Amino acid sequence: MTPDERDLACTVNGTAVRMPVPVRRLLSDLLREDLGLTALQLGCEDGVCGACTILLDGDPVRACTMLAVQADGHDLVTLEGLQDDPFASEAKRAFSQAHALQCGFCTSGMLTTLVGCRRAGCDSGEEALHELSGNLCRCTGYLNIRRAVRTLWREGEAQR
Amino acid sequence: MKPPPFHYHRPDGLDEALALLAEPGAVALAGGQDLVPLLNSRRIRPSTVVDLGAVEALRGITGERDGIRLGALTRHRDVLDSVVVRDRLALLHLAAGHIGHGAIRNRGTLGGSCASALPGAELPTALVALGASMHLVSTGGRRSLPAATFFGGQGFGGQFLDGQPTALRQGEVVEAVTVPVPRGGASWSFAEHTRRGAFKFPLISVAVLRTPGAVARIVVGGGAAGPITIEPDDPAGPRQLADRLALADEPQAGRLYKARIARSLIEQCWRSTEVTETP
Amino acid sequence: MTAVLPGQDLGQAHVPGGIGQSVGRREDLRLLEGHSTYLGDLRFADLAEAVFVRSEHAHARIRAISAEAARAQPGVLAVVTGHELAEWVSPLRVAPVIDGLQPMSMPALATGKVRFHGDPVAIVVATDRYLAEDAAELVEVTYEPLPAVLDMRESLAGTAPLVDEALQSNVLCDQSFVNGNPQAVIDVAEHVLTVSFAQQRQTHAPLEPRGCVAVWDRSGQRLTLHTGTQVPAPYRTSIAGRLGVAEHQVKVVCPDVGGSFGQKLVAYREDVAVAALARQLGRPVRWREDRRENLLSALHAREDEVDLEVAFTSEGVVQAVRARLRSNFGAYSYFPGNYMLQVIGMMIPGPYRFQDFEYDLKVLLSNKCPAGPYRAPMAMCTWVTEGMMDAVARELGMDPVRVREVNLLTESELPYQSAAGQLYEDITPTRTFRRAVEAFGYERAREEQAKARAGGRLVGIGVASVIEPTTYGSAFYKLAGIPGSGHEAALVRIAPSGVVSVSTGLMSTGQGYETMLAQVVSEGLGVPPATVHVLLGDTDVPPYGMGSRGSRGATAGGGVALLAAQDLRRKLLGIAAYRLGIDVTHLAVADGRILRVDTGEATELTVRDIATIAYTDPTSLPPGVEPGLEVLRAYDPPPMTFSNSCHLCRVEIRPELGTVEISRYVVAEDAGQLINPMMAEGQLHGALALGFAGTLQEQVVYSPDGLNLTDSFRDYPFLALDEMVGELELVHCGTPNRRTPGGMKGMSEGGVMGGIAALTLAIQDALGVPVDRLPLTGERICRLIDGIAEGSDS
Repeated sequence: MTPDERDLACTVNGTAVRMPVPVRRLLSDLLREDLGLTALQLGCEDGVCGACTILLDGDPVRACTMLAVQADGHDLVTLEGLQDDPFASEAKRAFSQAHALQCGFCTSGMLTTLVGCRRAGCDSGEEALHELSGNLCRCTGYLNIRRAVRTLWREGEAQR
Repeated sequence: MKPPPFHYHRPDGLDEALALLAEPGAVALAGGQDLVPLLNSRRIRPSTVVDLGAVEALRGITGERDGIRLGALTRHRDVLDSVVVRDRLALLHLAAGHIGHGAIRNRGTLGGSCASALPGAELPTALVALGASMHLVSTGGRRSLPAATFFGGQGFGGQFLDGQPTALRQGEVVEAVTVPVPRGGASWSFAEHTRRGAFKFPLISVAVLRTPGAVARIVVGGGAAGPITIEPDDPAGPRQLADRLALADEPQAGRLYKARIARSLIEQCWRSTEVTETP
Repeated sequence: MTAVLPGQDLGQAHVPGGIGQSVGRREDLRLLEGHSTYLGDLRFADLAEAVFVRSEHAHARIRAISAEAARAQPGVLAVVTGHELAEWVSPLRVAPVIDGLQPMSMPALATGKVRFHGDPVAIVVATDRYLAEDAAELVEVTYEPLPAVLDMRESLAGTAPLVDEALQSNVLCDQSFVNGNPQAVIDVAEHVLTVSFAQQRQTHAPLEPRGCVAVWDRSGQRLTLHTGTQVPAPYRTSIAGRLGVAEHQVKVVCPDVGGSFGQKLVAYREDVAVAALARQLGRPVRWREDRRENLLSALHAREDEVDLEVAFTSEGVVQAVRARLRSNFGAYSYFPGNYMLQVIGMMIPGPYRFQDFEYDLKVLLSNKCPAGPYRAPMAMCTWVTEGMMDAVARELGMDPVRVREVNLLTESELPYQSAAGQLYEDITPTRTFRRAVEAFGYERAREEQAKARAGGRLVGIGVASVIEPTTYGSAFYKLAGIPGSGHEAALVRIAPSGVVSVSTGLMSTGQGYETMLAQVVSEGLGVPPATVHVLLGDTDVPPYGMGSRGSRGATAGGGVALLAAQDLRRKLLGIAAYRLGIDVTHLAVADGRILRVDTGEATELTVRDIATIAYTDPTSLPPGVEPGLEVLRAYDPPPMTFSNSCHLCRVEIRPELGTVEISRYVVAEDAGQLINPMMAEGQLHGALALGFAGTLQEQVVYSPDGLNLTDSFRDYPFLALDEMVGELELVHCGTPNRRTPGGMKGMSEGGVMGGIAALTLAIQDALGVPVDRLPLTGERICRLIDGIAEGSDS
């Protein structure tokens, strides 16, 4: 290990990861390039667009504004790690049914943000949409995203 | 847009952190929401990044005799989740709720936001209104400053040496903030106007705190001079406000427009507060 | 609400999941599961990373470039400057034979001087992106700054420095058009008004920036370029030409693409440089554009101005229009100078009857990022035309809707040759106008507005009719003097196993063309859409089509796929008829089987059976029928197809902040036969959002010395979710185009056109003062409310 590398130990999608990483490496690059988790995307590398949103200890964060070494000791989940998450599956279905995605580049970040909202106990579609207004989309004009989110929360309500 | 090379340390202890930060070219990393974008665009090139994330001494929200003490690593999210803050420092709770989005609040910290002191940022405006004390620490020792002084709005003519936004000296970090709890009967309000787009960073933020028997505090943030306090009957029109805040023109908002927004938010906040005078 | 009309010449019942049905998208699964493969997701062994050194000046002479320190950096494989690169690649020359247009050349990397902030001057290739960025910082460029020209007026006055010294002036293009005698009409008109419109510079900002991966195969002497382009086939032609290799030596493969909006139409200078370096180094090279580069130097758009004079009667009848068009084109030509602005001129007549019309257009170079087409490059025309109608209404004290009624073309007047020479057929402007006005409840809305105003509220209503030119045929290009073809091509094939596949020159960058083409082929062929495999974006797979641009996907791409599928169905039925001994007119294909039309019963033959015969038993085919089941078709659409729509918008303005709330938005649209109404509506949503973004906020801003101040998403105010209108009320009116396959017209740009116009005019109505300049930021609205002039500090 060179002086500018550091051992990183964290959990990614339920699997323990232990590896040396260059200290300046961004978490987004670690996940995408080193671990092959390419669902998250880089849209701005400035913390604005939300395409790289992942869950850190269950909460949404931007992977492009974290150094990989800052993830030491934490639990990370990307969209790939939400394959069996029932709410994520519902969200995917709602997005497809409402035609809430076109090019799909923002979709991983949108879904991850929504899973974070739900886990944080966000209890209305409007509150979830408020959070989602930090995720940019260029194709859909957001109208169908709103429809999908409202459906998702309405259905969640009905089930409870 | 990848960070330049730097050395990195993640000390556990505050003393070790301060020793590392005493070296020229060292910067402190807390939540990284301001610092990492600066690294990505290489607008800063520190020799050393000192990650404070493991310094437990900088965490925690505790009730003290003279107020509530919040450690520098308190995340915006923690401010929002804290029952103590919600019940006793509702103005701070309100301000923290306006910060960015969940993804930003889950990482961004009180200390980081105060050290960056970006014009208009929510917490500095709220802290000045609340009359908070900023506790600063370095290898040279500890000192405390009123928030208004720390952010430079008053007493420093809006300027610090070498263009720094705050009173922080080389090698010094924010250790904690103590916020006095407003007296019973007080009322408060917070409002902001954000730039367009997803980032939702405030162009102007306004906090109002009215306490029975005391002069109301109206604090306006958004300019290079840091948050400034104006008197309730201050007749300052947009032009004077723009000068006092040292507002700068930007592509979608000239300084006088920002001052107009400030006036409007002040009125809005003032209207939504009232004081019940108890004999 | 959705009127689904039968396609023309389909000759059989609608296929489940075929044309006209809102089937779910087949793209969604991989995108939702995170299994998409955008450019950055592709993996290559031994991949090197490229970054560009870019100018930090608007205009400067390059005195020297010192790359030694950069070359000595760890991991660096190459640092190449403009002069060095020029030995391996040729410049892009844009020199169409168009009257009034100066030819222009652009080197892959700047040589001699830089012409805008972000102009690439050197390429650095290293083993790792971080190392490449480290090295790029060490490339020392010595500049001698030159005065920069940013404002069109300076170039018009002839006082500006030359952007391109090979040209005689900064006027890249100077053209005019006249129909009738507008001057004579204006001279004797009852009323004449002058109206001005200026639109700000914007940029596409697809969420996925540009980029490519170039792989040179030494043994095969062949380049594979992975890149998200809208136009794979023309892109390959262009890259091969620039590299000086034969076209078959280049293969272009498109991964999933994260949006384009016109920004992924050309082979960029960076792509050419990366391809050349991959060849020189003999290893794969990747360039992933970052957001700063994208905002500085990809393409900008829309910095256009129009001044017009309109003559009209006291009844509000517009008689003549004379327009002056100006465009700030930036520093280089990726496109012929008249490519965008001419269409604005051409569409100013809109859906209105006047005939005496002229325009002159001047396209001006400047020290800004080059301009290119951005979704609805002509979008401004609707604001201009409808703004003119509002100016007439204001002058005469007439209701804006009434003024439009007296000028609007009725369906009985069609076909109609517009004042700009465009042939309008099968459009329904009166119908969409009436439907929109009715759905909006216009009269009641005006009453409510009057009440709100009496209470001191700033409420406004805007109305805008759109004629959207959708599909540009070859005859259009010829007439406009722009080289190129409007055709599209499709290959539809049934493999021996019975599997159906279709490929075209289109490339999807989010539109859902895989779903759309499967629906069309399914309809044309009579097989379930799920059995149709769609293959796009690989130039080793025929055919050569012109790709995705404008709103041509449905009519040109869908149209040619439909024609090819129908040809193939005819062949299938011919074979079936021969085998069954039944007249071909009594047979149909449905659900992959051959049916008897009279009884609706299945025969013993399936599509698969016929495929087996066609490939493995050709002697059993009818005499003269060729083996195999493949049809390659090309289709050149009419010179122009049009869709039309009408937008109504209601806004309320908060005067203290200058903010705008869009409280109601209604669109009635006639885009002919829709292939997938759900996707068509999605296209309209996206287009509206871009229209609103341009009207209210998005703006590229340069400092007085030519530095781009909006080089991040913190500064470029990309429209966010909470800034979009709450709901859209949509009325579909589907009138088929009788000259296109299936009656398709195309759509996806009209929303931008109508969005800008209806929103701007609603704000103007609320403010009660003319709006001649966009964007309508909070600050500008406050200035309009206060009656403070632009630029004055009070």
